[in-house]
Amino acid sequence: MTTRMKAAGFEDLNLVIHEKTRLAIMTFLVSAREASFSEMRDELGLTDGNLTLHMKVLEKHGYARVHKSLVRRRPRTTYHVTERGVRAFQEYVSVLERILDLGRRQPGRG
Amino acid sequence: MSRRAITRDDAVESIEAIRSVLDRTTRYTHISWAAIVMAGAAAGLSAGAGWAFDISPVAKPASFLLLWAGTLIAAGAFGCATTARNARQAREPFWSRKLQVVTLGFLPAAVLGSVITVLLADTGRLDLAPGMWMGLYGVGILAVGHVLDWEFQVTAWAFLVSASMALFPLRDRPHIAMLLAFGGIHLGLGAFRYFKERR
Repeated sequence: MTTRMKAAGFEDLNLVIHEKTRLAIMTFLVSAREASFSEMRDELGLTDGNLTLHMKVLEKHGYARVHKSLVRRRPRTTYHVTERGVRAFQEYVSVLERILDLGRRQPGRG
Repeated sequence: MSRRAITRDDAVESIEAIRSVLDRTTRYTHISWAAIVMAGAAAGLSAGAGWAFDISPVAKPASFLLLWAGTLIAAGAFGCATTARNARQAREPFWSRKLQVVTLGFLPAAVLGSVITVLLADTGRLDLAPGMWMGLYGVGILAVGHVLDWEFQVTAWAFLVSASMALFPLRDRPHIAMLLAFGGIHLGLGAFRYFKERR
């Protein structure tokens, strides 16, 4: 299986997206394109600190962009997924699909 | 960029995680069974009143429109109140992204329904309105069916079948058509949702 996966180019995986929490955040952001900090925290069941930490990683890799504003004199933090982030996510999903497809064509070897 | 080898189990787990997040964040579940039952009950009462007071869509078009506009407003207001309560309980904003998707998806059918209603009233053919309302209501639900539970899609098709009944065999019996469709289908859906939510 490993040899075949390497031959098909599956040996590498984007760890930035593959981490469980960041995968949830990226899935949410790619489907919504933009979301407020509180919306993401509540929808994904994360703590403030956890979400902040993972968003910094995604920002650092250019997958998400932060926008801070004042709404009725209260600070509001909104995150947007970047085109680079969308492409990275699509590439990640495409690798998963190819692996599952390979597994289906090799019954009993997964 | 950090990369590492991946196993098939990793891939399955990741796909499941993606599916779970998409399910949780795109599925709209705040439409309360109570609001649906209320809509059905209001439609049943209005159909009964229309029959009792002989409010014919052709002979008394203004009264017919007033009766059903009032029903729509009452059911809509109750629906908004229960939806707001459900959103509060889930600690989500009322005007959430999911509700925006549902509203925007339903809007074309609602606008078209209003325009055609005015046209039918203008041409004295309000007898066709119940069937047209049912059809467009079904189309509206189908348009947002991808974010709702499966029973809403079944409901949409039930309204489309009802539209055919209302436009042909029941065209001269608008109150019965409205009772069966907006009353009966809503009550059936509301009862189903009630038992589903309590399972």
